[in-house]
Amino acid sequence: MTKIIKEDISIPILKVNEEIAQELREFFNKRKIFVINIISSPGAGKTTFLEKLLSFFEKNKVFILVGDIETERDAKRIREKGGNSYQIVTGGTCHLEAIMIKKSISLIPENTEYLFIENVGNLVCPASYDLGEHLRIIMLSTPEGDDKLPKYPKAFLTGDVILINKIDLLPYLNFDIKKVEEEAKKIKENIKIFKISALKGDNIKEVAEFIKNKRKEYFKT
Amino acid sequence: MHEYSLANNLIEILREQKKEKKAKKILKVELDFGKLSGAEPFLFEEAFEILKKETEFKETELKINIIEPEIKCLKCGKIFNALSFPFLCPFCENFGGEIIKGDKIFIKSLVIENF
Ligand SMILES: [Zn+2]
Repeated sequence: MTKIIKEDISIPILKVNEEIAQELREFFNKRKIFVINIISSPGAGKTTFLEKLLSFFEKNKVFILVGDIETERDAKRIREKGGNSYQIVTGGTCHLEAIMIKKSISLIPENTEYLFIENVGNLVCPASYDLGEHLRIIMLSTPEGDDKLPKYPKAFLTGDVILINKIDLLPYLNFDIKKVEEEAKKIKENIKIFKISALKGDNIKEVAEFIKNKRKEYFKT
Repeated sequence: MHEYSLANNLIEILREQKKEKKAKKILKVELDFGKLSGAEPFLFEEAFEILKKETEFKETELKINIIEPEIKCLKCGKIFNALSFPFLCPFCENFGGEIIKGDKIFIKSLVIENF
């Protein structure tokens, strides 16, 4: 005889991702690898930023994972600058998931202290996926316009740091940087903001110092 | 657009639940769909309807409850509903606040047919 019953459960739809992210964070903590997840729209300048940032780190202590929908171009660019990097081709998926990171961790060299994850260019979907990171950086660039925050609140809400890139273009654009800073503080009071130019190298050193200090704080080394 | 991967996750969880509960069929699944989940309910529904056809859940009915966000003010601690960003506490007029509900998608209930 068949019976029909209703069962109340409460399972997050991202349960598997959350479990793997937790597992990853434990792995990174054990290895003292500080993980930074970088999220932005396409073309905001993540790869140029990473190229510049690398010059402030000891190269053999940094590993970079780059998520891209189908090309290997960005990882190649970073390798040409002497960085250790590996591209995760997502096969059409618009974000990285914890499982994709898990499949790549065997590539991370023994003495790595920093793992940068360059997420797929997209401000919506990546915000929902914990990758086991310790620090989440949201990057926006001045040509995208100064109305990004109210449009993509989730990304900014889940972020720890906002990088406003391409400040060298400010004189040519109608971009109200003060408004963006004020809005960011209203969305998240304690969010850290850096105004940078990845191309010219402005304030990249400050970001590097900030990340190094965060690692020190986190691992108390 | 990650609604397809989310709908795939749902199907995975349904498979797991079906096995665990030794169910014959899952007739219905009910979701609490947070307005701030970052996904679109109508796209999700569309994705699920397409994906389920290839699975044992062809007949599974999907019900989506939209969950309004609840925000806890970091200053006065009161809870309020926010409809737009940034969150403004209506009690003390402080900006900011922590989302305590409505930023995730949960599977809330299943209607199953047992042997
Ligand atoms: Zn308040």
